[in-house]
Amino acid sequence: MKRPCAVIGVGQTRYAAKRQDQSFTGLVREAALRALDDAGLQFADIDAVVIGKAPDFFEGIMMPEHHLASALGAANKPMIRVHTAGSVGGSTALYAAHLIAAGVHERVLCVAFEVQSCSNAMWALSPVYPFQPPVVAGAGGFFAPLIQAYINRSKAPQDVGWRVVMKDRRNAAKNPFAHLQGAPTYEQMQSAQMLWDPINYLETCPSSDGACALVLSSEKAAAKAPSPPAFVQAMAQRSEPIFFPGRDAVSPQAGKDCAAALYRQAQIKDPRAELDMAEIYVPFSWFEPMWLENLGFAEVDQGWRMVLDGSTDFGGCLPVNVSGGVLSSNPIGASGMIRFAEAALQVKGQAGAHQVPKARRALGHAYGGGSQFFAMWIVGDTPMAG
Amino acid sequence: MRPVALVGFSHSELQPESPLDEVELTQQVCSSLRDKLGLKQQDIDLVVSGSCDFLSGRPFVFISALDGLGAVPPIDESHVEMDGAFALYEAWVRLQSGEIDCALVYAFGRSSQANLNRLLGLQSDPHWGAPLGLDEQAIAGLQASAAGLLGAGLERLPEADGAAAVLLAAGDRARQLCPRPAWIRAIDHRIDRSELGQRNLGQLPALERSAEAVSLSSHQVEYAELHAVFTHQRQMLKTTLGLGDELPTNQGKTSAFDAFMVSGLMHLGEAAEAVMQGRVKRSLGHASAGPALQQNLLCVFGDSP
Repeated sequence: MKRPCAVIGVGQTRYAAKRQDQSFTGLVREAALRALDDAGLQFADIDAVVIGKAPDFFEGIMMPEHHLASALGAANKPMIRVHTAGSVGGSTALYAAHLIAAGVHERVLCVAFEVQSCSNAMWALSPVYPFQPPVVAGAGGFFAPLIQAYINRSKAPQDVGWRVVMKDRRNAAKNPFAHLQGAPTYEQMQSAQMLWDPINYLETCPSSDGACALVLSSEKAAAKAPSPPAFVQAMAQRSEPIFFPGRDAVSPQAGKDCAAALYRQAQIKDPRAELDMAEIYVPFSWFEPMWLENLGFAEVDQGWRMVLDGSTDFGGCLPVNVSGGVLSSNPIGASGMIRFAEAALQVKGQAGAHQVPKARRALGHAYGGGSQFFAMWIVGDTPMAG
Repeated sequence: MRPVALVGFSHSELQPESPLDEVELTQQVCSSLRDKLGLKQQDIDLVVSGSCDFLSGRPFVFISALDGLGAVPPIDESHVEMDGAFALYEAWVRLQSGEIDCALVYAFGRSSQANLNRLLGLQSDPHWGAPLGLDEQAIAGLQASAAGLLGAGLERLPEADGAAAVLLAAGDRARQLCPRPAWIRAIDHRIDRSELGQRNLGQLPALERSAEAVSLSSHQVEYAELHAVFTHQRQMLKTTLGLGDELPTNQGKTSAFDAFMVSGLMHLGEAAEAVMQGRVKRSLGHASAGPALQQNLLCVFGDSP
């Protein structure tokens, strides 16, 4: 019953602190049109539209899909709105992939976006709960203690986070869509202002405006696509509560379970050896080594060594975030889909200056909430056998 | 398609201001449904939910709802910022893949925390519609007028807080869980264009297409649950779907209230219950969303797959 699903179109906008040249409607449409163009299709060829974004407060428009239906050619078609916190871009792509895999549709457009210049993400992500003291200032306020716990238990040297940033920003220089251009020096990393100890200003993702879109299709429809498709070889999502006794919030069980389900589907035993690259959701520098461990690329407390020995560099054995990652562009609702899209671009051989040579299999990863929602896929240049 | 059925339905009391918060409402409906079916959370392959951040005035309300579900160990889970009826659709899609056999769907909404009339105005377009101060009443008035149904004035259901949950299961799993599963014989949803000014508000073309897609006229439904907050909207739905006045509709408890984010799922649950309880062989469940019935979902239930 489950049939192969292919990525046949990828579209991204340029990411920037303020895209004042476009309305938010125009921005979303820009990504969608580019994805359709890449797939050699038009809105009329699309069976359904799936749209995702993080909290509606960011733009102050409740359920903006009702307004976006016409701009995305969705009139008279099914339109779905996904919201799974920071993982939403990934979850949105997975929903679209399930529509194809289940045989419900032939071609589905999925789009994810955020226009963060409409609001202040720092305070939008500092919710005040009734009867609870407001202790968290922004996402960094929540994640800083987790990072400190990781540093304490792994005994990683202080400059691991700085080196992640320097690498991602070097990579971003090869990606014309990236928001932050220009890599900081070691000295600049060292002297950057502290925001949420141990996270300094340069170790934090930017707030971006932008959108990303994918066209997914059946294998039959993919055969007519103008460029080589990327096939979805595995997909999984897992969630767990934000607090419960005994929870390991540094390396959450939901992330481990999600990766295990993924590797099982893709018949992968050694992810580090069998994947050619990975796009991992790293909004704060230290999450690269933390997720390398959670995803099984490194042993517990050893992920930071892959950063220091250059394994995750552009020419390393497992290039991570060659697009520049979330540390270089972060329209929150889209950031997960950008990871999925960049993994697909690599497999399609369309990543331009940041193309990893001979990338045949790649991981796209997204997470959200308090490190509790996970969405992942593996794309490859062939459908899975069997 | 793979045969999938609704095998259980549970809902909270619908009341103007619930003393329960989102977590407690979720806990109540999900645990009562699991108990009814003799299931533990670990027996359920997938969870999909629907809710709206704007009602509570804070981001990610669905995060804390997980506390009410008991998602330890971790679960395969997703969330739509839509009425629970659309979460049911996602569960149905996932069940089609054949990889999972049952899915829990829930939705909660506490509109008592918000000014719904004003909030629903924020759904319209931010460039031309919202700045005019269009609220839900104004949009409903425009539609009633376009449909020639303004005569008696606007009549709206009272708002209510609440939550609901249903369980979907495929094939033999459905037969194990329920003596008379309500099989989903057809399901479809579509959205109309965005701009109020570019729609003929007196007609619902996307719903017409959905009715064709589910071959509504061929199913000979004996009962219908229609999701409409205003009286004139219910009339429009009946006309568009070609449902005669002799067809019993909306006899369930849901129809006395507007439980925002929940009512659509409840109408599907009530339509399915008519089949599960053996009252009818075929029923129609309907859910709507968006300004002026922009988005609609149809689900035909039957006593056989």
